[in-house]
Amino acid sequence: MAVSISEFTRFAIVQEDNCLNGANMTKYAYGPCRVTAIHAWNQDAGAPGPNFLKMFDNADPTWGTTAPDFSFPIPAGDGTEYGALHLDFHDEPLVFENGLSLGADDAGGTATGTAPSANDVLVVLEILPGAS
Amino acid sequence: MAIIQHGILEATKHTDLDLNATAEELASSAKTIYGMEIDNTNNSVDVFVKCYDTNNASPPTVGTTVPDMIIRVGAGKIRSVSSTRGTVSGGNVTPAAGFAFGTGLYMACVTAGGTAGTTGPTEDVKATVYTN
Repeated sequence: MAVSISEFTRFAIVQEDNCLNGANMTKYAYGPCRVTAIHAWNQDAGAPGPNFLKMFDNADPTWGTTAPDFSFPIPAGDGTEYGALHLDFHDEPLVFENGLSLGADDAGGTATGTAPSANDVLVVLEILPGAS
Repeated sequence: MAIIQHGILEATKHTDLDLNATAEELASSAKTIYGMEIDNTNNSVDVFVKCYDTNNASPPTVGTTVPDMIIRVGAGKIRSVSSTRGTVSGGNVTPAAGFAFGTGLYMACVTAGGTAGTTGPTEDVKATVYTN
């Protein structure tokens, strides 16, 4: 899924992606943008542990090769409830000068890990257009 | 005006005034990070703070060991990150604050994202980390 945000000038955009995994990296924006809030849920239960939300300041990164600019662990669920990550950056948004792409798997760094085994990661982002 | 108290969080403050490419142990046992503030005001380039879930029994090799969290901090900026992670079930939210590091906590700061990167910033970065 590719989303252009150039037409938005005033309001934050809330983007939802319920199919985020390593093999299907999402390219959210092709130009500068700011992320003011992140909400992510790990729908996998128990093993293999956390999945990592990896964020790239890049409109077209190569999964497993391009170094992520941010990587946050999302805890595993317990079989009944999802593990969740909530981050608020309204005071100082995360700035992505070159576009924004996301991916998730069970490895925190650059290399490819194992994609979420049973259920993809759900992400809701609040995005503002422009770098400032 | 009604005031709703959701809970009291006691935290231990860790301060590292010289975060650089040499990984430093902030905790030798399991810790949960409730929040952190990273001060990169003395550098004119972006830096990447990397957190490793390990302790002095198996210290990380910066540039090789896969980090468990990566945070980019813009040139001349201060970045705050705090998390309230929890679970959601049937519309009910159960807060469980923080990033859980099950073994220990090492941190380092370099000028490249992802896993690689062994070059530290010109000037050391200051980090204040709040844990249990």
